[in-house]
Amino acid sequence: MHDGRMSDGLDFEGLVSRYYGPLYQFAYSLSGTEADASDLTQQTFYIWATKGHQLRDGAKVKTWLFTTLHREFLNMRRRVVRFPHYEISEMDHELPAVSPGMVNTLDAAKVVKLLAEIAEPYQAALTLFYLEDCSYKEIAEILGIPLGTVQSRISRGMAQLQQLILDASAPPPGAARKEEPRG
Amino acid sequence: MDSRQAREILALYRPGSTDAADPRMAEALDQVKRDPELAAWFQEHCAVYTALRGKLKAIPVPPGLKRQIIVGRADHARIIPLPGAVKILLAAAAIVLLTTIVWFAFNNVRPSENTFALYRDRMARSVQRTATTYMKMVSTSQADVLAYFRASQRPADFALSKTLQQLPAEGGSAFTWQNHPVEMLCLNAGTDAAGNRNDLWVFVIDKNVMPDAPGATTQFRQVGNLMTASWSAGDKVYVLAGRGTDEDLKKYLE
Repeated sequence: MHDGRMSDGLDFEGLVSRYYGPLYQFAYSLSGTEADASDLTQQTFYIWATKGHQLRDGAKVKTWLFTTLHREFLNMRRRVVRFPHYEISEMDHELPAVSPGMVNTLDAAKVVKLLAEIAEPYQAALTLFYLEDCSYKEIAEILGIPLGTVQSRISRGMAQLQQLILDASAPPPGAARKEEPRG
Repeated sequence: MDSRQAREILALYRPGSTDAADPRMAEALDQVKRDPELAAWFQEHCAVYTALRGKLKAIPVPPGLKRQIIVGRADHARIIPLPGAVKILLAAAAIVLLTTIVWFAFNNVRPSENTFALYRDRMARSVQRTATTYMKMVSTSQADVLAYFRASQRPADFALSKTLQQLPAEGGSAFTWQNHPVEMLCLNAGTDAAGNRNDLWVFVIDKNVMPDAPGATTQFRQVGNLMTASWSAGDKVYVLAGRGTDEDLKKYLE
């Protein structure tokens, strides 16, 4: 029986123990719901159990799992779109000035909500940038896009996320008026 | 490399990662040592990165997920290596099957598709393979399960018999079958004479996707070790699955 054992000696249960948490967090960051994230994580391991034996390079297990989850997410959304490739040098924006203090006022759920508001092509790259200890090459493999595109998507996604954080941290309209001196 | 270029490159720098090993990053990091303004910006960048990473790393993982994955794999994904002779036989069978398909295609003759039978059998078999049925929502209250369906943008206006409505729930799941939404409600019908759990499963799907589903008259069919009762009401098709005979299931349809 294929037990998913790879060159590093991990059997299926060991593999689940090591990766189900990071995969779930990636799935949750993409889908924004617990149910979809659980489904995506389970589906990924189900596919591993049926097809994982085809993977010969044990060092690629993590990339394989994240690639599979991302593909399943795209299938779920059924919105696979090819996006243009931008190099960093083509970008004309500056990152908004977000401070760590602003980030610390947000909880994880709020950050995920803001991530969901980012344009979809940037979302997965940015999530992997923050969440996983993947190299840029691994992120490119997971998302199936060129390295330069990964970097441009992360930069643009980061700019959008930081702008959203700034907006979320801004005082509500009228709050400033109360402090204005009268007369 | 000037400070502007270094800042562009370092915008993608992740503290604590292997990014520093990248030659362009390394060069940009050198520039940080020479430019106090860049160094201040870089410190802020690292702090924001660390804070955001911390938020995402704090996403709680459902405590039962690991077990569900392992149980689900044991249930669904057991692959048994076959002896060589069996593989040859399977290959021969595949060739025969392929030939048959090609023959049908060229003769414009298609085997009749019984969509509903496939669906009913698939649903019934999915719950009898394991004692622990995977449920996304676990509750003894039918109202809670129906609320879960509504929250999942699924229909919850089921036309169930009074007997079924009065049974306590075990839970439910909203999933898809061949891309069509299906709601599964699991009910607790007590225990049988031998003391075994007597769960009932109700599967609901849109009638429009099941053109060959039974009408208002209930059809009974044994699927594996479960009896199924199937009928249509309104815009939905219902499949009730449980242990016992058709007479046993009829009690729940009154």
